[in-house]
Amino acid sequence: MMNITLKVWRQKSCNSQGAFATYGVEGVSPDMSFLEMLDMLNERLIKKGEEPIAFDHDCREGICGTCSMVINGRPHGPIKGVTTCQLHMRSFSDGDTIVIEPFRAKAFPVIKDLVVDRSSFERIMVAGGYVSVRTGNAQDANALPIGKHEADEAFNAAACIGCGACVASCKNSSAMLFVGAKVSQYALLPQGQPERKQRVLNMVAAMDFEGFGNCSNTGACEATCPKGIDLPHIARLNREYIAATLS
Amino acid sequence: MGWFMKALSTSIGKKLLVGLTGMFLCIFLVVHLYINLHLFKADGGETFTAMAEFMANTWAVKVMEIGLFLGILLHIIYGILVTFQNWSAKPVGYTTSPKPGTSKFESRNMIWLGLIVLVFLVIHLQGIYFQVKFGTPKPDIYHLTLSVMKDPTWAVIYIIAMYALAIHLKHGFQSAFQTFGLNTPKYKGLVDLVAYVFWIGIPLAFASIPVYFAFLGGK
Repeated sequence: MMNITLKVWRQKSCNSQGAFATYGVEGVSPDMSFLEMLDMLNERLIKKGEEPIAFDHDCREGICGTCSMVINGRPHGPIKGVTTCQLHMRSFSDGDTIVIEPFRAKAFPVIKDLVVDRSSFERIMVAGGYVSVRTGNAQDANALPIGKHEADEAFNAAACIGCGACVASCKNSSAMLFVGAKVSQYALLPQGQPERKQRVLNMVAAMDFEGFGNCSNTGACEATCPKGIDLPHIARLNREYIAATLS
Repeated sequence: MGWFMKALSTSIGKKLLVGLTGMFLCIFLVVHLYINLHLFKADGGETFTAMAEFMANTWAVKVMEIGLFLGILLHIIYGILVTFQNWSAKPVGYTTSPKPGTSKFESRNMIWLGLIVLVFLVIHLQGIYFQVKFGTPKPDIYHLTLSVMKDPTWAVIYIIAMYALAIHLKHGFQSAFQTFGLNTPKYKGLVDLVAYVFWIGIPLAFASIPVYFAFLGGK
């Protein structure tokens, strides 16, 4: 069993001032997930009559993109390719002090403690994250031949779970890895062609409207993305934008 | 023109303009360096002077000169716009930073490196360009340039500015290709190689001139 010290950002509401609170968590099993450790702390806080720490979580299987938080300065914690819910306490050592902060970005305002409002991503998706489908029966899948490379690339882009770690890690809070993944996913597939040009223009306009910063091509997003979305998707976003603007 | 101005007002549009003007300025650096390297030629400045006169008296070059100043201006204005937008998008930072860091020194400090290069540019224009262009009597460009290069104080200023330029180019050159959408797995190797040669080679070659004349006894 491990004894951990947590420094957690506590903030009552979006308009109130936040501050770090320190908690000693004793009897932590190395096999616990990070969120289970927080659950245990919250149970203890509730028993003491204190307000539990608010944090986002849902599937706890690394696929929904709900869990967020920045652990020791890194979104989703120290392990590459892993979401917070899939992070285990064996990645830390007995006696460690762990600092937990909410995702920081103007476009992701803090709602409470570690919970941030990521609905700006939803509005970007509404602007262009869809395909037109005619009514009637679905056609035979084999009627739409897709090259292996294109299919693989589209699948890699579609692995984005929209968690926002790219924005959280970027010093400019840029959402270009997220938007790049979504634009790539549709641009590479025949189903995405009808809205191809308008999609990239609309999604970039929505991204700018929400107050995300510009990409500095630093690569912090790629380094922290739990699903391995890489920078060539941003290059494709730029190509798609240039082509849509000039044509 | 509405669509063009609208495109330039978006985040990608602004970055494209910074990248395109940056590339234009890189071409200028190559031409400038080509002329400067003729200072090494032991012909009493004959070739260097001839080249400088060609640059000063050819109408096509004069048009390019206006484009160059416009390019510098746009690069600065849009660079500042992008930086301010980036700062406002992250109003609150983190208490802890991951080790190793997730961003490189040069990408965090492009604006400050650019500012050092700008300060140098103003000093450089005042010390040589404006003297030759508007000075009375007009000094001989070869001897004026050589006297600047032989001055150890000037040499140190040149070396510091070239170091800042190198680090600015280290990030800026490959970053521009990413913004143009060309930094794909197919071209990444080539872009990285050209970027590497450019950010080290160009500033080093520029800096070699004052080092040779000020510190190594070049005549």
